[in-house]
Amino acid sequence: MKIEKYANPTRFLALQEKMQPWLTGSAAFIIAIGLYLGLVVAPPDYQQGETVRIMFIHVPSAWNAMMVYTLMAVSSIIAIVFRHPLADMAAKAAAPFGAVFAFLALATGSLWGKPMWGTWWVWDARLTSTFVLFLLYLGYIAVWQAIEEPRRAAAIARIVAIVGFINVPIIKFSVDWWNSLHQGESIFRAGGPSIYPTILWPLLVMGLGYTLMFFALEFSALRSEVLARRIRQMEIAEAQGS
Amino acid sequence: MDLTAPHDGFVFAAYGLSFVVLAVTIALNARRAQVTARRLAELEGRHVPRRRATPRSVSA
Repeated sequence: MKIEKYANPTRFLALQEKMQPWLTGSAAFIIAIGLYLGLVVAPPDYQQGETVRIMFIHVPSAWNAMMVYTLMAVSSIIAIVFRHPLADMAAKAAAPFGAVFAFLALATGSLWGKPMWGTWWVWDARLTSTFVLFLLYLGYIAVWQAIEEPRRAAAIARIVAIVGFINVPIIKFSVDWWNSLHQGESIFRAGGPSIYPTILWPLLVMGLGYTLMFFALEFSALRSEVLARRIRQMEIAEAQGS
Repeated sequence: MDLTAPHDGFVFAAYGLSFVVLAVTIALNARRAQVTARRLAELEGRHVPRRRATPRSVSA
């Protein structure tokens, strides 16, 4: 079975209909387990106390914010190179969710920063580059909103997604490249995670749950995009026929 | 979780905000899916074709 097969909108709709309940159900189930592990099973941190529990929603939001932008950039490249009909729609459907995750990463980070750092916000590399990511999402969404002709909007939106992708590795390595108030890399690093397993596992489970939630939302939103395109074609045909 | 620990308010605020924002996102997504499906069913019910009957001329 070739994955290209599902670049056909009609085939995608059939696949989406089958997968949607499973994606939604597994996302809800895994997030419920993650919340139980994070709020009940995990012990308080020896330095941060109970505030460490903010990490279980802050970090998955930040991971998803970066992952969604990466998917948008890859979709945009696929749209340019292979002209898959779903690629632009997939990127467009994903953008609002990426913006939500970026906002939540900033807001929950701020709520974690105040008791730990003594400040809501500092213009350091990690925080500023994540804020830039949020602005990139808003810019990408604004392009689709501002330009009525879908082909022109897609052409400009692809450039925003691909050029803006440079910010993703900057976010990832910002804590290594610059002095930052934000803590250093503690999970995906050489030598393995530096977090104790009782705190690491709830974090990984919540990360998986948030990722499944994104794909559940993305599949549903992509279906709406495909149907909206059909509606547009039908409305044009109706207007020209009348 | 110790519900009397210092700074608990920040934890509750972070979880509460995430819950509200994600719930609104899910609700808006579901609403859009519903509106789109209804509009498509309405057009299909009127037998509106997906493409115009006579294609536009290619020449300028």
